[in-house]
Amino acid sequence: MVDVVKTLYEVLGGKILRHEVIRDGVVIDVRPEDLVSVVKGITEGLGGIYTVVVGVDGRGIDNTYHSIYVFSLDELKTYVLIRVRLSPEDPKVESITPIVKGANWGEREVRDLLGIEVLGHPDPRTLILPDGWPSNTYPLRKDFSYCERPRLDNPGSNYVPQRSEEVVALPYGPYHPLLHEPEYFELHVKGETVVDVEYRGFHVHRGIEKLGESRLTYNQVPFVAERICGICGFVHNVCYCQAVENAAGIEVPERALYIRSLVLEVERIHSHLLWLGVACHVLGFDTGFMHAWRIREPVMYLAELLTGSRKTYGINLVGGVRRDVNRDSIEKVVKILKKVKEEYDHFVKSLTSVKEVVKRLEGSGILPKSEAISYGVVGPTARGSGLKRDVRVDHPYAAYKEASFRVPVYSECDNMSRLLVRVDEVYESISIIDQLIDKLPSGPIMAEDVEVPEFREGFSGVEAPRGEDVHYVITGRFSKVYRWKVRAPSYNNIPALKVMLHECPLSDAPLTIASIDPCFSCTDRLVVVDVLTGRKFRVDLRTLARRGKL
Amino acid sequence: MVGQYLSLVITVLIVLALIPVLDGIERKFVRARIQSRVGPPVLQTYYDLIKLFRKELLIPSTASKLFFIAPILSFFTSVAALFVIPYTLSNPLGFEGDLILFTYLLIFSSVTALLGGLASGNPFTEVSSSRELSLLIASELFLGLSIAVIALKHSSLSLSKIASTPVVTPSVILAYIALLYYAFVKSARTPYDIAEAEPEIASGYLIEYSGPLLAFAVLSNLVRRYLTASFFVVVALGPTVSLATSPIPTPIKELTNYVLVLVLSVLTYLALGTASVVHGRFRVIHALDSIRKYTSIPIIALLLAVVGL
Repeated sequence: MVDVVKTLYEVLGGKILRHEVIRDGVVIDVRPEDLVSVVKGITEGLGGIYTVVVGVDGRGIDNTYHSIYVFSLDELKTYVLIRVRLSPEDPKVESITPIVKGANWGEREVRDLLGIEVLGHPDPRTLILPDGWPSNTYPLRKDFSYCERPRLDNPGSNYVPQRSEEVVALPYGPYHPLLHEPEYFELHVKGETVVDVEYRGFHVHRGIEKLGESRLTYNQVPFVAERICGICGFVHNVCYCQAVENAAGIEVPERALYIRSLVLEVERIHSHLLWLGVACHVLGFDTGFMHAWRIREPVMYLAELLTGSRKTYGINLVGGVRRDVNRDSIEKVVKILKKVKEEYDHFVKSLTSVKEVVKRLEGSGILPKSEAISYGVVGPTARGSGLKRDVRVDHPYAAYKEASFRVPVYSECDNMSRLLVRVDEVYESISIIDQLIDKLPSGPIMAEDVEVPEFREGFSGVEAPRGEDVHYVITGRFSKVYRWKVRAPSYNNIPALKVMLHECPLSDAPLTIASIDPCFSCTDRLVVVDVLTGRKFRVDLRTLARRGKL
Repeated sequence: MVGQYLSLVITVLIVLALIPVLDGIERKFVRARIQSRVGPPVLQTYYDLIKLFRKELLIPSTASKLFFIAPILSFFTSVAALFVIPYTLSNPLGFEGDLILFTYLLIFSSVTALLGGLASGNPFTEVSSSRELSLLIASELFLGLSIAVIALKHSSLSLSKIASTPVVTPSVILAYIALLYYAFVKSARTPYDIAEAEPEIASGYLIEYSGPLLAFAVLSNLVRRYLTASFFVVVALGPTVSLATSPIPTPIKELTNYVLVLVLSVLTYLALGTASVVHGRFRVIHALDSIRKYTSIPIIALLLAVVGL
């Protein structure tokens, strides 16, 4: 860590007001007017890749708003958190989006939810809040009560997609057979070629961060965190716990770390198999779809053996895990995995022999390496564009230091490379599980004294099947968290779709959208708001039943 | 004479009743088997159709009258084409030139289905119809060439005559192969289901259809699948059947032919279904490329036929 701090001072000089070393990263305080030049120094001088923007209503701590820009220094194996403190009356900060494209959403989110004005941001539209949301109402500010439900002004803007003779606007969403969650892509199509894309998401922003900050204690949050995602929820769970452990300086027993890694890898296998199935379906190869999901089934059973549930395991707490694995189930795990591997081998061979599938994967949805860096894409999307990024290696956590594995990287930048990355990763995950089971240490599974001091910062990343998932936590009083920020992998990957879809044949657009394995529920995380009509509704069960009858 | 008409009507009704079951067999015993699923009951397509017919009729406000008429027209045209096929060696409705009528009805049926979708005003149908039209143009050229070869070698445009006179020359055999491939393209299964392509363009021209109209559209599609398979059987295998059974008295010959044509049509239908299961969907350009590549078959056949082979 000393080296990292030294390098930072060398590059940034006197712009650092003060620094603080935390587990997994370094926090540096800079003046708001220095922000852009500091970010330039980090990205150009140190090869930092954009991770997330976190806004904090710090009026309860030091009477300022904080805006924290996180970059990952993959080579130095650390995160750097650049913090600017802004005046409580009129929070304003210069935009970094012109130099870091990936920060576009992060800055808009900070503006929407905390009212921190971002000067010089190229996109004036709201990102998360629906049209007609009252002005000067910022849901993540501490004076905004969790129970408050503001009335929308001017709801029901009549949205009509633009159309012309040559360009047809195709609405993909909010409900479309391709998307399993409500999101809206508007593809502007000329003949069979996509010329432009409009994206509107956050239809199902559930306000989980607000819920965690206002209603839950720090040990209840993991259970809500696991429900952020319907496929890879455990990563959020682990990531949150790690962030709090990092903040509080808790040492987690080794056996618990192994169990976390084991379950994370099981989750990766079933998630990748699920994705492979969906990709086959999108390509019209339903036979592959069915077989991928058939092979996935024993993996779900395996998760049940290890944790007691097929999905949403609920085994994590701050400081360790709640449930131990027994020897019998481990023997079964080894047996099941062997069979899964055989069947998977066969599946991969047949998949790559279907020529329509291969033809459509190759050369479509190109994301050049330079764009990948600028958008800060993560996971298989980054590794398919030749970027060797993997949180398990770059910022080791849980028991990954104990396992040796390869990080598959393909540099063709197309849908095929992203598919191959995932195909290879399943093999690596199987091998990781085998290694960890061999080494599994005995001992306690929960840290002895778990105490969470107030107002400490913690940051943590976990390699989810879809890429780097990061959580930022400031601990609070009375066993609560003061600030909990979640950034799911798809949040960084979706904006890059604009590049991938440009000049893409329409028939490959759905595949390209699917190729980043988007997880919209992770990305969205508040109140049910229909953005297109601006109508906000909360449907209770009774009305739902009544509507069903009509 | 009346008896002949009656038997034709009964035959068409049997075939029509059989087609949804055939789809059910494909779903249960071909697709589900290969995909290692349990699959729906064999009568599932019937259940689907019955449900659809009992639902309310919904017409989008942007749709024109054609939207309503087209699927019904498409269905009845395809049924009309069923009447033209010679199930026995002679067809009471047959005339010199019914080969042209048959192809006309077949194409008319798919074009009307497409136009109906287009009349809904949904942007997805525009993409879908442009795809289907390019596929149609490419594949009809294919069909036209193969039919030309067959008609030339038989010196007839009558389906019954073609079906009862065996001609086995290299050019005709190539034309038969071309017809089988045409049946595969025309069945709108993967990899040629680009006009429907559910994950891409949300079922394309069918997107606005629901209830009884959807039932008609689905049924006419199934009938067309059977028609193309059966057309291949009648033209290519029919003559061989009558050749093998030539010394046998006419009534028995007629009966064997009748049964064999039905059985072989069903088998061809299912074989094409099986072939489709192991494929993904083509990108539009690849679909057209593949048809263009295979167009060399009927072209060679035509050249051979012209030089007398």
